[in-house]
Amino acid sequence: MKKVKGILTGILLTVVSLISLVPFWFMFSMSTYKSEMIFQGVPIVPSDYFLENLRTIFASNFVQSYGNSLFVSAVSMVVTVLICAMVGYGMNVYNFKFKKALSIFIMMTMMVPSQIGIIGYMIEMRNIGINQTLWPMIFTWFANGFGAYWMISFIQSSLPIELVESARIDGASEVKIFRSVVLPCIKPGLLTLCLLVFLWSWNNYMIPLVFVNKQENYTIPIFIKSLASAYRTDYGAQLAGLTLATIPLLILFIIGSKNFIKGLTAGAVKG
Amino acid sequence: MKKKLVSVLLVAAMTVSMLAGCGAKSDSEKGSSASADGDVTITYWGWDSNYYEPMFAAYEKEHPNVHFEPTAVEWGDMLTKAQQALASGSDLPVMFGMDNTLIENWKAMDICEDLTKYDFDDSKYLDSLAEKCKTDDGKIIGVQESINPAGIAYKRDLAKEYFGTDDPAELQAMFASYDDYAAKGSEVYDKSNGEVHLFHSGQAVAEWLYFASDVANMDGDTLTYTDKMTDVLSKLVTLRDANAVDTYQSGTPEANATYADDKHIFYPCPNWALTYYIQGNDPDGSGNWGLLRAPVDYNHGGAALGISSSATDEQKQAAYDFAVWATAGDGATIARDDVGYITPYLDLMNDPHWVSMSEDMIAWFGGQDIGEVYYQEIAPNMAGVPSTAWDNTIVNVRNDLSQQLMDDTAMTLDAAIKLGDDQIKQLVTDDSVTVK
Repeated sequence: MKKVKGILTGILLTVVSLISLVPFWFMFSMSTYKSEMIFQGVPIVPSDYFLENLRTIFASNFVQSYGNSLFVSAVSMVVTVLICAMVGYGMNVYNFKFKKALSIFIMMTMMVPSQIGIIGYMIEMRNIGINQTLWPMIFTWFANGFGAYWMISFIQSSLPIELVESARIDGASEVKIFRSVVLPCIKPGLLTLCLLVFLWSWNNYMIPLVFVNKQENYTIPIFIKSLASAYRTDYGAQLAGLTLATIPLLILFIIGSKNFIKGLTAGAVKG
Repeated sequence: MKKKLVSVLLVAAMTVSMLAGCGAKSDSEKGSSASADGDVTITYWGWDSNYYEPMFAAYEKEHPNVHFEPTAVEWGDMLTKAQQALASGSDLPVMFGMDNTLIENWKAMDICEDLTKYDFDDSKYLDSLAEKCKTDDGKIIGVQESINPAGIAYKRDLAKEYFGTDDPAELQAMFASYDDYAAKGSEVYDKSNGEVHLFHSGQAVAEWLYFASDVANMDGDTLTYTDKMTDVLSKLVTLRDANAVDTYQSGTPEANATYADDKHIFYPCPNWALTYYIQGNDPDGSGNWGLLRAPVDYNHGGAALGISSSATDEQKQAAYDFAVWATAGDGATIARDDVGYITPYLDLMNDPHWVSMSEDMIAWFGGQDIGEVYYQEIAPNMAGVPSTAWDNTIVNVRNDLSQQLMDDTAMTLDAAIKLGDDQIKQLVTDDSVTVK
């Protein structure tokens, strides 16, 4: 009975996995075809036109867009996660006035759609004088309500406060405690947030749409949208671009998958 | 301590280098678009790289002091991007493309340079198109790029197989009315055992019927939704019920791939679709295409070039010079030969020798002189209704309803109209406008 249950579970999971993975496979497989061939059958088996499609993509400013997206997402990820971890640490370890009000304020920022503030943000960036650069696409993540809330919750459930107190007794500075005691303890939470921020930033369309006014500042989502007008009916090239665009996310997920799952389930069972 | 110092220095160095790499332009750089030696940079937002790339390249060659910096913006994002730039006081481009469906919305933004300041004489342009660029107080906010006469393109091999001829004149007689399309659509469907349809997409057919409709979208302050949509969708339902239309969603890769298949015969075809859709999607189809006049001759879409009033005088003058060159000067010939666009500038447009199509395009259409069909037969009779600020809203509802009608073949015209009525009443937020 147990064996049958196991087999059924296996079949179910295989079906679900196939449903999830088939579109990705088709995306890759279609990117190896000449455009006119893509819809002449079901392109399950890859063809031999991938390099040609890549050549088309690289002839445009794909590399620069890719570099921009990597730069924007990497800097956004590192700084945002650091800020959020500090917020989480501060809110859990220190007692100060209006702590509760601040906590509510952080929660509230999650309830306001970011589109509402976009014009104000544009005015702010223009007044600082960086609206024609990549920085507006980076700064937008720094004050991240969800990230702060995530780290507050994660630190609360996974950092024994006694560790911090012991370190203090041993004479460690706050920076040292944060760096050497807190960060290693919350690694799964940090990696999960890294992945999420990278993903949000990589896929972000609205902010680049309103700020990018020259090809040199294109990020991948804007570039992919413009592919339709750049290559019009060259679907093979468009799909090759899309395939390349998913690679950093896949790599990041493969590297962090173990910690990502740990991070998501942390605190689920409190022992 | 030493380690700490090194870390601080590293962080500082990284920060400085990153800021340098992504730094904002200084004020002097910002204003350097028109320098002392007469160099002018024209920034541009538009979606139709098919048009602007060859035009800009040719103009730069003729005018080495003028440089274009185009930014490809999706058609659907153009207005949002401009509205947000305007609201936040950010830089607008010197020049931009304005689709005729949204032209009233561009007027409402009040960001365009009034071209009457440059003595622009719009009486030299096709009246029905020039009118679209005129505001109520007499300003002219743009120059129309092209006339867009539209017909019905067909695949010759399929026409021969199902109608016994690929001759345009014989087919024209066979397809003189919408009812003819329905009757023949039914025959073809039956003959092919349900494999072949006349048209590939209900949305594409509805788009054709929308532009060919003579029902205006507005009557004073009343949005005449029911009249307009009934006029359009009733014909679509007739064609759908005759199995003349397939269910592809217009503009999707799958739908575009049908241009090269042997299952769809007709495609509504404005002149800009020759390169954009037909040659692009059926690269091996040269010689296999023909063109008919639709039951009602019509103008499909089109766009105007607008100039931002916030640009510098040098930029505005250069952009204006380009717009005139592109429509009334040498650029009009380049637009005709490279893109297949015909200027609405009357002196050129009415010259039968000038409007002839390229040899390549004529060969593509099996030797048929489609320039004559478009510009001498269709263009003088084109239907058109005035633009309104709600055109895009109606177009969105039309797209949604036409796809729903195709997906659910049991859906009646009345049910579709009712559904759209609910949608449009939510979308029209202006209290002064009544939806009827």
